This record gives sequence, structure tokens and C-alpha cells, in this order.
Amino acid sequence: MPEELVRLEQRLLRRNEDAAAELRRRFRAAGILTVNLMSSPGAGKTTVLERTLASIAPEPAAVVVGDLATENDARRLRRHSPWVRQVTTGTVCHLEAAMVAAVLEGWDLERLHYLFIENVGNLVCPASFDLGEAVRVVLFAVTEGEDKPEKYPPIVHRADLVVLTKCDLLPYLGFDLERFRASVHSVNPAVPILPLSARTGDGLGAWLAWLRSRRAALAVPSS
Amino acid sequence: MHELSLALALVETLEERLRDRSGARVTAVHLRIGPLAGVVESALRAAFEVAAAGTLADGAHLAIERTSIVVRCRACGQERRIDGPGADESDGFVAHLIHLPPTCASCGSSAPAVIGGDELELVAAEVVDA
Ligand SMILES: Nc1nc2c(ncn2[C@@H]2O[C@H](COP(=O)(O)OP(=O)(O)OP(=O)(O)O)[C@@H](O)[C@H]2O)c(=O)[nH]1
Ligand SMILES: [Mg+2]
Ligand SMILES: [Zn+2]
Ligand SMILES: [Zn+2]
Repeated sequence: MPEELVRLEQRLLRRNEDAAAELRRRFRAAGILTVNLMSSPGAGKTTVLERTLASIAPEPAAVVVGDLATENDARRLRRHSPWVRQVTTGTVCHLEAAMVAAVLEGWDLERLHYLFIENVGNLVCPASFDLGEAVRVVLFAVTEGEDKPEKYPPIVHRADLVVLTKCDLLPYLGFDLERFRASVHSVNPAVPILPLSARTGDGLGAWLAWLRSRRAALAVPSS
Repeated sequence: MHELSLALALVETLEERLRDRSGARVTAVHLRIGPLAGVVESALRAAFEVAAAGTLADGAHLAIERTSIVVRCRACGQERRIDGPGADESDGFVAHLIHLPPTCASCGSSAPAVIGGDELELVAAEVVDA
């Protein structure tokens, strides 16, 4: 029986990419800055978001938070914003664009300035799934050690910002900030690094300024 | 875990693209994968075996072409390939440390842009008609 080579030339995650492109179009049209936050479990995503929502008010900001199970994070965030929705992914270890699209149902995006998407705590596969975000933020906690960025290159190489969290713990850890910077820049030479502590609030101003500047840049036609 | 999602997407795509060739069997699948796609080859092969069972691609061989990372200098446009873990079976990409050059080798300007290396593509399928 003859074997035939059929050319297919298709990106494997095209379905997700199509859904993400549609989301990106909607976010753009509504003038929302959508931020995809990714980190290992417990690096401090929800805590940073709690502080962010509290500080960014009265600007309207929404959060979509993904976890394998529980509504715990959504419950924490609802104290700070009426627009908080949890996606429980079951066994899926990352968020996909279709999950985000489904959970946005019924929200008037035109009313929002920011949409934060807290991805499932995982430094591996969220890197491959575009959610239609304008910017990707990867968080590392000082407790994870200086070399994590170079151990997870795919997620770091596409990041628009790297946030170093729990910096209030620096005095106890002997964490080498320069070593961390070198690790990040070995994978993504141009990415800015922002150290902060959601506990003390140090660095929060710079984080908010970065968000505002990225939102302002949305209005300008992108190159 | 991630590889299982990919394997399922792969089987779905094959079913979709070969829908009009009823009864056809896929004997081999050609993929192109970059080092920045974060795919562990052995995990993908194992997941594909499971995902393809009972489908048109049951037992199909995965032929994986590994690409390199390509960076381009933002100042002078010079492009450079950085070889990833290669096509050897050692894979376990995450354990390999990839160091991108912080400066351009030809003009010395900093921060080259990554323009290739995250490919995750279905290239072709070898198909036998019923
Ligand atoms: N010392 C200190 N602890 C922090 C800081 N931020 C978060 N934590 C603690 O770290 C733990 C995890 O924080 P979360 O904000 O829940 O982390 P997360 O990344 O949202 O976790 P998952 O959603 O489960 O992946 C909690 O016990 C927080 O109180 C910080 O800036 N300093
Ligand atoms: Mg959380
Ligand atoms: Zn996953
Ligand atoms: Zn150059």
C-alpha cells in the first residue's frame, strides 16, 4: 500500500492561538491592559494582586484567577474588586484562551481599565498558551533561589517584566540579587526586573507606574 | 502534564485535517519543535502513544525535527543561531541551561531579540489509505 506524505504545516496550538487572537482584539477595542501573571505555586501572585487592586482603585480592575481547585484566591481578591472570577481547571495545569473567554461572559469590558489573569501556579506550560494578554509578567519569590529563571527559560524568554517577590525576606536569605539578574538576563537580555514586597509595600509604586505606562502605551498604535 | 495537552491537540488536528480521507491511517507524524517550546521529547512520545490509541494515528511514529534558537540584533540586524539541546534523545530540555548572548557579537549593542526557537508545529503526516 503506498504511503503518502501529506503536508500539514500547522501550528500545534492553533486553536488556542485563534481564541487568544480574538480575545486580544476584544481587549484592544475596549482599551484594557490585560496582564498574564505566571509563577510557581505560592510565589505571591494573589498577594501582589490584592495590593494592586487596593492601590489602583478607583480605576476599575478585574481579575481572572486560575487554580486546579478551590475558590480561595477569588475569595481573597473579592475584598478589593467586584470583578473577580475563578476558573477551576480540574486537572489542567495551565489556563487556555477558551477558559478565559468563557469566564468573561457577561462582563462589560468597556468599563474596565485592567484585567489581571492569575495563571495556575506552574513555570512550565503557561508559557505555551497565549491568553490574549498585552503583557506577560513572571514572578519569582526570593525563597526560590537565584537560578530559577535559567531553569525555566521558555517562560522567562517571553516575559515583558520579571517581578522578584517577598523582598522583605532578603535580609534572612543571603539571596544574591546580582546573580538573579544575571540568570534572568541570560535568557531574556532586555527584560526589566522589579523587586518588591507585597508585605511591606516596597516596590509597589514602581509596579503601578509600570502598569500605568503600559496601559498608556496601548493608546499609541503599536509598531 | 503539558505534553498530554499537546498530544491531544495533535491527534485532534490530525483527525480534523484528514477527515475527508475516511479509513486512512497515519503511520508517521513529522513535528518541528524549538528549544523554547518547553517540550520534553520523551514525555511527548509517551503522551502521544496514549492519546493516539484507537484513533487514525494509533501506533504512528513521531519524527521530531529540533530547531535552534535564533536571535537578531536590534541595532545592526545581525542574526545568530544558538544551538539548543539538539536532536539527541537526552532531551529533558528544562535541565539544559540556555544562555543567550547579552550583547551582539558583531556590533556589541545589548539585548538582541529572540526571533526563533519556540516552534511547535505539525509539519506533515505519512498516510496510508484504507
Ligand atoms: N514575607 C512575605 N510573604 C509573602 C509575600 N507575598 C506573599 N507572601 C506569602 O506567600 C504565600 C503565598 O502567597 P500567595 O499570594 O497565595 O501566592 P500565589 O502565587 O498566589 O499562590 P498560588 O496561587 O497558590 O500559586 C502566602 O503565605 C503569603 O502570605 C511577601 O511579599 N512577603
Ligand atoms: Mg494565588
Ligand atoms: Zn499545563
Ligand atoms: Zn549588532
